[in-house]
Amino acid sequence: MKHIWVDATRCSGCKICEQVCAKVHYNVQNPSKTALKINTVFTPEKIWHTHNVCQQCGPDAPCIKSCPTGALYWKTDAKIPHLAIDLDKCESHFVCVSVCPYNAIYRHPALPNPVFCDLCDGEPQCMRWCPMGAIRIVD
Amino acid sequence: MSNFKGGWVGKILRVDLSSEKIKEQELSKDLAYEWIGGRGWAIKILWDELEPGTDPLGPDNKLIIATGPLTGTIVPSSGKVVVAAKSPLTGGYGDGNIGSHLGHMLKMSGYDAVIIEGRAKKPVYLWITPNGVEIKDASHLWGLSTFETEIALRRDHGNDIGSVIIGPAGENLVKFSVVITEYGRAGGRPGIGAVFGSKKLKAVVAHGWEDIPMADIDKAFSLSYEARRQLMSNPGYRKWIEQGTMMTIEWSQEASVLPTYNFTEGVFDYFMNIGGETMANKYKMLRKGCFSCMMPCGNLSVARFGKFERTWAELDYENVGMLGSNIGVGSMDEVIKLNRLADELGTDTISLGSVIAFAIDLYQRGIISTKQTDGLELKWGDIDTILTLIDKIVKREGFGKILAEGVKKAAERIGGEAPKYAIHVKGLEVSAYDCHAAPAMALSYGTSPIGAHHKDAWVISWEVKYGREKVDMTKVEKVIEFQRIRGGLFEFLTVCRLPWIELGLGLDYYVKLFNAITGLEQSLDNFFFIADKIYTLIRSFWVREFGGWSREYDYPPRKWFEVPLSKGPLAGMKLSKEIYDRLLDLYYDARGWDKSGIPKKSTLEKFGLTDVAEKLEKVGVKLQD
Repeated sequence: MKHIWVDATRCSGCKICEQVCAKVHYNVQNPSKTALKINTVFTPEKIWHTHNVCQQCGPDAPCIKSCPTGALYWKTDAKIPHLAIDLDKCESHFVCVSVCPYNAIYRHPALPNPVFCDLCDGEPQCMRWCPMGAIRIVD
Repeated sequence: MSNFKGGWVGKILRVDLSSEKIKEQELSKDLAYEWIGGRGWAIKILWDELEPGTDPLGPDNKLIIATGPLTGTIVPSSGKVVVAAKSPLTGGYGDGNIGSHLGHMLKMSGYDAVIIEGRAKKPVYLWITPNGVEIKDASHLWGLSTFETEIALRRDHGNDIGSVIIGPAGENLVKFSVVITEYGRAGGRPGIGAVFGSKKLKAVVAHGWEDIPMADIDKAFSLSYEARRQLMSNPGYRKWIEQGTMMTIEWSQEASVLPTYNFTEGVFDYFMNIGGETMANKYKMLRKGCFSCMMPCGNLSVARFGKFERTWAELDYENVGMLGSNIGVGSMDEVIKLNRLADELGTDTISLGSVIAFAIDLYQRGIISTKQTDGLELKWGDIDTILTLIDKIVKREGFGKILAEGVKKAAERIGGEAPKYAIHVKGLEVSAYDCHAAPAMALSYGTSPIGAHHKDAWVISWEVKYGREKVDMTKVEKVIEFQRIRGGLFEFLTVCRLPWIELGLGLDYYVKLFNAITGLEQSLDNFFFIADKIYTLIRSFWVREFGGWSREYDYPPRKWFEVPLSKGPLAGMKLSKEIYDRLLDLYYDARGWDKSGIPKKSTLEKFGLTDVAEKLEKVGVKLQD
């Protein structure tokens, strides 16, 4: 499935994507409310920018299957099919967070629902903003 | 709820390490509107709260970590914080700004600024989150390098943190120690690291997740997107991304301002080896940017040849100039090693380069001998001796103990001819631009409010174009204009100046962004007024500490007046005292200061600083009307 990918050789770790993601989804200035997390990892030998973001596993994704209230679903009527949530059904069990094999669904201390990438319904804003051109959609 | 519609989060954190008391205080509208943030708050708080004559390394000195209204937002390159205190290196006002992820983490924890007082009994670090502030034991971190400390802190608190950390240099109170973050970002040249060390404070670490209030978030984002487009369409953008400030090496060589052999020359034979082109083609491994930066300048470079192979460090012009050509090192691999070492130990690369060069210069001229240098034969570019010397400086052993005081005090200790070769203003070592033939840049070093630093008025490239030999009011006006913008505007908004200076992002963007984020109506003129006010208060701080002022304190290093260049296109040139004095007179006049550099009473009144005038008169300073 199509999902976001960050080219670590281009990324500078500026977190503009995180800010934009939070702005688009929650209309706030708060990079911690992001679905695309950039991690700059340090070791004495190396510095590397890694990322965590929903891999859009598809209709059989572990998060969808394990959601006790059936709030998570696979949205197909979008420019690019993606994971979506029915907020009326979500009861904040956060099972999805613990079953995600990519650690790409998050629980934010100030939000009642899980945070994950919905590809901005087909037009990822992080990709539009990234000054380094590091963010891409890959299959 | 906060007093403010946006930008400022509305709280200041006050930590007393002696009594372990942690207090929150409201950010007053007065402080926010009149002094904006960053450097503005730092000088205001230090002026109000420090007694004149406070020991910079005593418990009474205060450490300020301040953000500004635009810090940590979508504004281009907004990842800056200002660290400030009374400087142990200069004895006057000292600050530095550091690009990092600390700014937005502090604000997302709910604080605009942190004031740290007192002295802890044992090593501690400060851990700040929205859930509370803790003074935590740092015994296990004391003695570790800044890199090791960063790894340990991230292991304990997760990877998503902002920090400022000191290394062994700060712990040992080396006078030019700095704070370091994220493996190689440094700030606080006038010994702010030593102030940390004197308080037994190893680090300040924050992790926040609260929203930063914005008056008009849509407008802020659309303005930033416009700014982004403007930046990226600049023809120089590509080269900047490849080389960052490192391209200045080649330019400096061409303009004959590259500091070489302790500012003896302005050209270096091996400049190509340490230039931006070489770095980009052979050594650069990765880009590293601060928070919200669209033009990352962190050139992570890895050594490829010789015994330092695979060592990596972040390279910048100043660091490479001072730890390269200025000490005669003409190999990028060795420059990388030296930068890495300085960052790990937590010393300022500029001052470290200057003290090493000073020592070698004295030795080569026969002013000192192996007797004083503990048997070390000091030669230009001799990497092994230089590494030994750095070790001695950081451990404060033998000759290193003298050098750890900075060039000014070291020169006084050595005596004789030595002060002539100490390259500093007010005790702060000059950064990497030789001014034998650049009177306006010399003036900007001379009048910089923390001592010789390029952060305030980097007029050198303008001056070279305008004409070095010219002496007129335009030069003084340019210095003041730059000080207003770089030393004022960008320091109190606390965002990075590089989008403006390097890629020509209009200043009107910052005004519009400020208005959109805070919901206020400010104009550029008003910002400049505040910048001038800040400069006047900083000067008053110096005057109060020194019990008066003499224009000699604003003079550039003697070497530029007395020892002419001998190589390159400008051979034979030196600075004229007469010309410098003329520029200085014009400068004082334009600032409303008297002939000896003290703000006039009318100037202080113009800025609403009548209480400052009273306090100055109380300590015996005579103010002109």
